[in-house]
Parts: sequence; C-alpha cells; structure tokens
Amino acid sequence: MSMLTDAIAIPIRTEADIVSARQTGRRMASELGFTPSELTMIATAISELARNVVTYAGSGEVLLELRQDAGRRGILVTARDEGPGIPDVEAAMQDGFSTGSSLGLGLPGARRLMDEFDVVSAPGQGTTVTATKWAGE
Amino acid sequence: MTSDHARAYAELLAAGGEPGEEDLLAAYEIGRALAADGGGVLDAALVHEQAVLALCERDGGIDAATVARGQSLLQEMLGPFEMALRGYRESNEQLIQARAEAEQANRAKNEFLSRTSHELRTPLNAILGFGQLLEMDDLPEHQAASVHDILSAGRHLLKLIDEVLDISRIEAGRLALSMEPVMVGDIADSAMSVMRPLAAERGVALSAELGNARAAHVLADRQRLHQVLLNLLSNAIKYNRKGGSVTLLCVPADGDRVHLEVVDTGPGIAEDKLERLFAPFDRLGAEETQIEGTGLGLALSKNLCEAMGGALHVKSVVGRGSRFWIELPRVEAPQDDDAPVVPAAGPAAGGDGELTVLYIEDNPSNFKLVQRILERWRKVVLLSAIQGALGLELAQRHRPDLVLLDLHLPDMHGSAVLDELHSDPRTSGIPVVVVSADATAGEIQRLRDKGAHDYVTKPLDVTQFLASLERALQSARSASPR
Repeated sequence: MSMLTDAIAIPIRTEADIVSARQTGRRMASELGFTPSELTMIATAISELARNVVTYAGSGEVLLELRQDAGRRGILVTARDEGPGIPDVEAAMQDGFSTGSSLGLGLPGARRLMDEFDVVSAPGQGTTVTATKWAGE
Repeated sequence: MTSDHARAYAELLAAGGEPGEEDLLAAYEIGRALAADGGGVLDAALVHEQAVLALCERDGGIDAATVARGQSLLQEMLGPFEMALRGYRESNEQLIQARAEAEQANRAKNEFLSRTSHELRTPLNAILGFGQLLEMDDLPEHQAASVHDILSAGRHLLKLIDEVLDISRIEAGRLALSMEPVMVGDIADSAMSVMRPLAAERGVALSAELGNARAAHVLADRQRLHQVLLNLLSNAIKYNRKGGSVTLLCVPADGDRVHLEVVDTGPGIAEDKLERLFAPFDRLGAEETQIEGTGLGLALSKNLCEAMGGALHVKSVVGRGSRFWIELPRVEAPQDDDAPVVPAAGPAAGGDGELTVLYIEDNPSNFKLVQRILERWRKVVLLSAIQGALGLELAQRHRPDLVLLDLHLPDMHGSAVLDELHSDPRTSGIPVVVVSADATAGEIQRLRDKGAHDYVTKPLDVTQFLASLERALQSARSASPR
C-alpha cells in the first residue's frame, strides 16, 4: 500500500460546507476503486449526515478517513456535533415505515447506503455518527 | 410542486459543462424533495427526460457533453430513491420475518394447548372416576349434592378441555376427519334422542321435521357432525323460553347442498352481535346468566363444519328466535348398506364365574380407581403391572380373561405391548381394552387397527367403561371357548 491513512476534517456550518464534504468524500473514495453508483451512495450518505448537523446542531464537522483492514480498503465518514443530542437513538434509527411517517431517508437511509454504521448520542452530549463503506463489497 | 422541481432541474442541465459538486448537490436535493413529496423514481426519470427534451427543442439537438452532464445529475437525483427503496426492501424483509415468527408462535401455542389439555385429562380421570363411584354409594342428601356438584364441574372442565383441544387441532390443520356418506335421518334421530331429556327438563318442545330428506346423505365425519348437531340443539334448548320449541329441519339447497336447520323460539340475537357469536369465549353476556357454557361450542362447530367442506350460518330476529343451519355437500347413498354395528351393552354376559383381569398402568391413582370400579362390578382378581415388560410376563403366566392397557408406560409404549400380546399364542386370544388419556381420533384408530378390542378414554365414564368390558368378554367367549 503506497498510501497511508489519510484524514481530512471539514467544518460544517452552511450549504457550501456540505458541498465541500461531498466533494472531498467523492474524491477520496474514487481513489479506492468504488463504482460510480457507489460514489453516489457515499455522497448521498455524507449529504444526509452533514444535513443533520446543520439542521439539528447548527454546526459541527465531518471527518473523512481512509481505512485499511484485512487487505480491504474503505472510507470512514464521521459526522460530529455538539448540539442537543438525540434522546432516543433507537427511535431515531427507525424509519417509521411501520407508521408510514417517513420515507427511509435521514439517519436510517444513510445507514442502508453504507456497510457499517454507528450512532453515539445523548441529550446535551452532542452526536457522533460513524459510517464506513468498503470498496468491492 | 413537481413542475418547480422540473424547472430547477432543466436549468441545472442547461447550464452545461462538467457538473460541479454544487450542481450534484442541487440534483440530489431535487431528488430528495421529489421523494419527500411522495414522488417516485418514474417522476424523477420524467423530470430528467423533460429537461433533455426542452434542450433538444431549444438547440435542435443535444451534444455528448450534455448527455454526460445529464447522466451525473440523474444519478445524484436518484440517490434518495435508492435510500428509500432499500428501506422498503428492508422493512419487507422484517415483515416476512415477523410473520414467520408469528406463525411459529401460533404453532407453539397450539402445541402447548394440545399438550396441556392432555395433561389435564389425567387428574380429571381421578376426579370424575371417584366422583362417579361416590355417586353410586348411598350418601346422605347434602353429600350427594356435593358429589353432584363435583361431577358437574368436572364434566364442564372436561368439555372445555376437549373443545380447546379440538380448536387448536383445527387451527394447526391437524384435525383428522373420516369423511363418509351419512344418512340425514340416522344422524338426526341419534342427536334427537340424546337431547330429549334436556328438552324435557327445560320444558321445551323438541321435534324433527325431515320429510323426504330423511333418506338423503351428506358427506361428513359422522362423529363430528353429531357433535355439531348436539351443540346447536343444546344451545337452542338452553337459550329458549319456557314452553318454547326447537325444531330440526332438513332442506335441500342449491348446488347439491343440504341444509340441516335448528330453529328455536328463544330471545334471538341482535344483528350487531351476530359476528361475535362465533368468536371463541365470547358468550354475548350469557356468562352473567345461570346458563352453563364454555363459550367455545359455536366457534368449534363453525370450524368443524368448514373443515368438513361445509359451512355454518345463522339468522336471527330479536324477540322471535334464531335459525342456525349446517350446510353440507349432498352425496349418493352408499351401495352396500353396512350400517355400523353397535354392539348392545347387554347385562353381565360372562356369567358369575370369577374373572382375572390384568391392568397394565403406571399411575397408582388410575389403578386404584379401576380397582374400585371393578369391585362393584363383579368378582375379579385384578393383577397389576406398572411396566409393559412386567405386564407381558404376568399375561403369559396367568392368562387373564381381559387385559386393560395404558399407552404411556415407563418402559415401552402400550402399542408395543399390544403387538407382543397378539404375537404370542399364549396370550393372543385375550381381549385387550386400551385405557388412555390420549383422545385423538388418529391414535384410537391406530390401536383398533392393531387389534385392540376397544379404546376407552380417560376420564372414564364408569357405565360406558363397564359396558365396554362386558362386550370384550362376550366377544372373546363367542370367538374361542376357553
């Protein structure tokens, strides 16, 4: 492997910051051999996570890192904010398909586009979402 | 709303050149808004195609660079739909999984009910058996009344258990039916004769008007049809008025069907309650009356009729009465008219000589009960074996006149004991009566096919039990004078 772990942090405050997070994520991921449709999925997931930061916390950051594990390569997206936090993470990860109240977008939507997904949050503690997509999976 | 999205997307495409990340984000936002508005993938595709078409009209064509730009924009616009589609797929999988789990839970429930019901019959055997013995004693009046109450509560419980067991078997699709042409007149007469005492006791006039239909045959399980008729007739009598009437009618219906109708002059049932009539345990308020019932009879009857390929219907007019009818397929009368021979339970057939009876049974309370019943019957030497192997040994050594056989023995199953008894010339002529709490029709048939003379289910009905023993002895005597 010629490239060691590369990490870029992008502060998120405005629409323009979302654009830059998507652009950086797409560029990093394209170097790992993702297909065009996978690149769209990664950009879409970054949009959903960054949009949540803007909507619910006002500001935060998106950290993009290349990951290597057991010979495979992937991109790790971490969206962090110090906003009000999520009182019930489990409920926030539910789509509401059963209640018909949502469309499968947002956090659960982003989870489905990525291979690994984790949310750590508590009221007053801010929110950290980590999501990884592996190339060739 | 969609036209706004279409306009925004058309402007995005018309801008030309390789799309920047701002353009891609804008396309994604359009797709997200479309999805949030309830639009689908087709709407997104149309938005894209309309924008392409508009460019073609404006410029008289479209260049490769614009096609490439459109491809990137379309892909981003479809991102949110990909998310939503994956959500639908996932929730569909969850629903399938949930349904499989619910079905599994239902199977487990039926299994549990069926096992529990069987376990409940065993202690009931002691309660009803010893109760019946006490009833035969010369008891002071208040004690006789108590015994009567014990017996009636015990029988009620037994009925409840049997009905729960039947319903769970039907739900599990495991009810064994033996379908045959059944003559309407036969089955009606039999049901009427069982119900006459109850009708007389309640002061209700009971009659049957079968007319020409008496000779008609329906395709049914004789025993189950009998059960349904008894249920309908007893309801009609119990929920009637003093001096009222119950009539059993038989009318041919459309499409080779036959209706067996039970018409009563009871209070009737309001239209809005009719639906609940067939729901298990819903007694429509009758639980607050003195009328006894399990709340399962009609639910079971309806299930039974449907399992036999028929139906059970009701019409009712408040203040005038109700009409329940069983609908069954009509069939031709069978060619050979070999009506089942019901052996008469005659008086003690075996003379007064001393009898030897071997009872193979591991439950001491059941053994004690049978011992007490036999003591009242006649002079009997009762041999006891709590294991199958020991029972076989005793049978070979003592050559009893009769073997009573439980099925759930600690060392071997009763059916294996039966096989060995029959294959040994020393014991093959001895009649065997199976005494078991397993009341499933399949098991009863299996043991009869193996050559059991009779199959008596626990809890024992003392009179029927003794009648069965008499028949077994009688047939053994006429078959081989020993």
